[in-house]
Amino acid sequence: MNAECVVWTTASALFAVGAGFIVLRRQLVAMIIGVELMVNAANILIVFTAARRGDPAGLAVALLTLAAAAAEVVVGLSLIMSMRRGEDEVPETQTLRGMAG
Amino acid sequence: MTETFAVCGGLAVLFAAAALFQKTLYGAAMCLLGVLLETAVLFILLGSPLLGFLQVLVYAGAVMVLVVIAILASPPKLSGRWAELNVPRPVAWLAPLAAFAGLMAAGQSLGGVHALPQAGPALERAMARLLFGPWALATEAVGVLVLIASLSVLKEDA
Amino acid sequence: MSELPVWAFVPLAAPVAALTVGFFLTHRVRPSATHLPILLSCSAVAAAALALLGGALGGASWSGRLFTWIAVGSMRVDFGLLYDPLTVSVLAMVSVVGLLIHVYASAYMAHDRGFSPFFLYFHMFFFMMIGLLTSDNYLQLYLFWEGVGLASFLLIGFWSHKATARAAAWKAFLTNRVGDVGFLLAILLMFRWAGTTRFADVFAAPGLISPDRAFIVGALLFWAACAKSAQFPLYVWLPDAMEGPTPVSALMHAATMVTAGVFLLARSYPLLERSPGLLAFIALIGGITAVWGAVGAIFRKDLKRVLAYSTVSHLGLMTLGLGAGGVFPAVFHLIVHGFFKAALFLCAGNVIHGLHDSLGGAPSATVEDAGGLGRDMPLTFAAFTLAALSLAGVPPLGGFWSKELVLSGAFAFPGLAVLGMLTAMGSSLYIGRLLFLTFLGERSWQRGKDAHAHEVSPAMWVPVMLLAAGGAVAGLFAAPLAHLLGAAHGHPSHLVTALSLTAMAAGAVLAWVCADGAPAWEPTWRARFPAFAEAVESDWGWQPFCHSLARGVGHGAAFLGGVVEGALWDPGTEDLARSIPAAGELLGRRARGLLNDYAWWMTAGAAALALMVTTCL
Repeated sequence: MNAECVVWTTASALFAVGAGFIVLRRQLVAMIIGVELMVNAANILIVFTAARRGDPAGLAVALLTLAAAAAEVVVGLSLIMSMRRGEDEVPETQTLRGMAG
Repeated sequence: MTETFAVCGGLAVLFAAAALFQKTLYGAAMCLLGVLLETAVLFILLGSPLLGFLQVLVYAGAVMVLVVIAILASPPKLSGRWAELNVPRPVAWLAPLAAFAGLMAAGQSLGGVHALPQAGPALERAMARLLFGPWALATEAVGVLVLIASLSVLKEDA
Repeated sequence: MSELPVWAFVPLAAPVAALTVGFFLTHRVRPSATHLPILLSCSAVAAAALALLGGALGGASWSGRLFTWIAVGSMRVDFGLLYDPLTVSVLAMVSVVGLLIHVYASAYMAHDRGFSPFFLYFHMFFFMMIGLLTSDNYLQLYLFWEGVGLASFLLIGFWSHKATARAAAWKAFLTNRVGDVGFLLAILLMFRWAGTTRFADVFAAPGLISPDRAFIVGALLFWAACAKSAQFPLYVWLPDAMEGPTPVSALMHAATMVTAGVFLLARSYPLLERSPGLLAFIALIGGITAVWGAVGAIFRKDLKRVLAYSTVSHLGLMTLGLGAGGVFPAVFHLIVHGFFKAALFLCAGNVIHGLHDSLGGAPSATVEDAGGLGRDMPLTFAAFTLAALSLAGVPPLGGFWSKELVLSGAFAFPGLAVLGMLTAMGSSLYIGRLLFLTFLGERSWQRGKDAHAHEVSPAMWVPVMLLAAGGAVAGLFAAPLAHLLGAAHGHPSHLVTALSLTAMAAGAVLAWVCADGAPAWEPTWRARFPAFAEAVESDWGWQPFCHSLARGVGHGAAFLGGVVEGALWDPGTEDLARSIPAAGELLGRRARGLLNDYAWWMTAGAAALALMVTTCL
């Protein structure tokens, strides 16, 4: 079994599922989850390549990406929560329709 | 080692797929937690326990807390799982499938490494030296970024 | 052929200079002086033309290329000047007659409000005519041919407030256009078969040696000449062209423009003579036109219309001479006719001017307005008589010699001989009638009770006299011209002379009978034979036929255009216009502003791109 193929397939599958979240699910929080999945898939690949090449820069990038993605989740979620207009509404992509254009 | 990686990777993908099909957001968040933990395992398998540890700490810890809080703060009533797209539902599923296919096609020329490479403690030490040495600015910048991001949680009238 | 001397550029440069000065300077600043630079230019041109004639008589001829006009791929047309004997002789007549008529016009049009534009148009015509005569290739000639047609349109319709003038101008232009199609086709064929339109090269081209091809090109050129020189089918515009002022009628429609067609045929003679059938056909048409015109002239009332039909008849004679006898008889008659016909037209102008008050300022006079003017206008009477005798062919005046040459050429063919004799009789008939009715006798049915006429100013009778004198002595130029054109000049046979003189005398007698005989024909025949009068007035139905033909074509074109527009163009453009917003709406419905849609498109697109790139590479 080829290690590279396995790693690549895993990362691709995770990425595709993350893309599926964004395309298919209704709620905005689901989109955040999708982004998280995609970032993680990329991270796996970066760490694998760093380990393969013995390049510390790769690991450093993976770490920084981790931190940046965390910050992004914070901002995104706070935006979503501030969008709530009434008590009954869940922020969905449909509610963004008025903001289109 | 590679087999272990394959198994753990498969688990991660399973968790992710399960998340996609969850009826509630809470369920999706729980499955996401599973994915994140599995990813940490994958990091450890790749020979970088530091990264795995940090993954659990930051992601499975902090980020998940945030996500769960956001989910709990919204009303439990959901209008439905799937979005309404212009294209019919089966066609919509094509997009992620095509993404997967595209990535697999891009990775066709791969296959050079047979054994799972290990990062090793020496690489981790080098990484640390890098982060607090030449890349100190980047490290500090990301730190400031996280700090500023936390400010966004404050309410408007603050 | 030697290089062009400096004064060979004068005939073209002087009019351009005069027109520039006239248009930009005098027309704007002092319109009443526009004729001055123009008269100066005319004199310069006449002087240069006579100098060239002198040189040509000594055996010289010149040609030169001025500049490259069109150079596209293998097609190349140069703008060049050619002063060969034909050009020089006709140019001499055109420039002298033109100068005299310009002088006349400066007095005739003096009180007209459009004095300045008239001179500009008039001189522009003069320039176009000179350009036509001095061209060295067919395309350049065509350019000036069109220019002359344009000038004709502008000048016939000069008094544009009159509906009849506007209609006549259109008629002239459109009829000429019909002929110009032939010219254009001929040029295209020349390009195809000979690759060039320069005269010398066309006549030497191997592609045009065959009689059939020469026939086709020659016939097309003849069609063009038919329109411009008013031959039988296409002459209909010339009588109506009398709506223009008299100087216009004199210069353009007697001496110069209408002779452009004959000039074209003379120029193309080396091509025409390759197929003898064509020359015979040309002669036949010429003969028919000659008789047709003469008959038309006999029965008309209006002075200028009589002269117009006479011009048609004489153009027919020129064509007959070209077809039967060759270049020399045609060109000689062209030159002589230019002098005496211009003189006759200007005499008519004098009569109109002299009868100004009794006519109420109208620019035309009929035989009923005139009568017995010989006493009141002796100088005009003398000039008219001189020119009339020349027209009738009374020896030893110029008209006699030229007509003899034409008739002796025609005598080779019996049918043409008959036509020629009929024309000779008709010529003296109509001009005698006109002379008697206008200048002689005191008839009760002519002129109002208190009508009076005065002789015209010297600026008007001197040119007339000079022109009439020119027409009289032109016989002297026969031998030099023949020598110039390289034609043999024998004396006509006594049979021809006898027969033509007999015909002329018969016509004169008949004219006297018509005018002064008893019973008085002239005033009453229209009332007594109204059907006949009607038939004559409409040229035996040919004018109304042409008119309805033109209208039919116009309506047909309008109908076709309407059909095409209604069925194809309008729906097509409207559908196109409507389809664009419809397409926009269709696409617009795709973009709802929903994130998921956009995300789908992005993902699918990126994936497709990645797949394409990786599978293709």
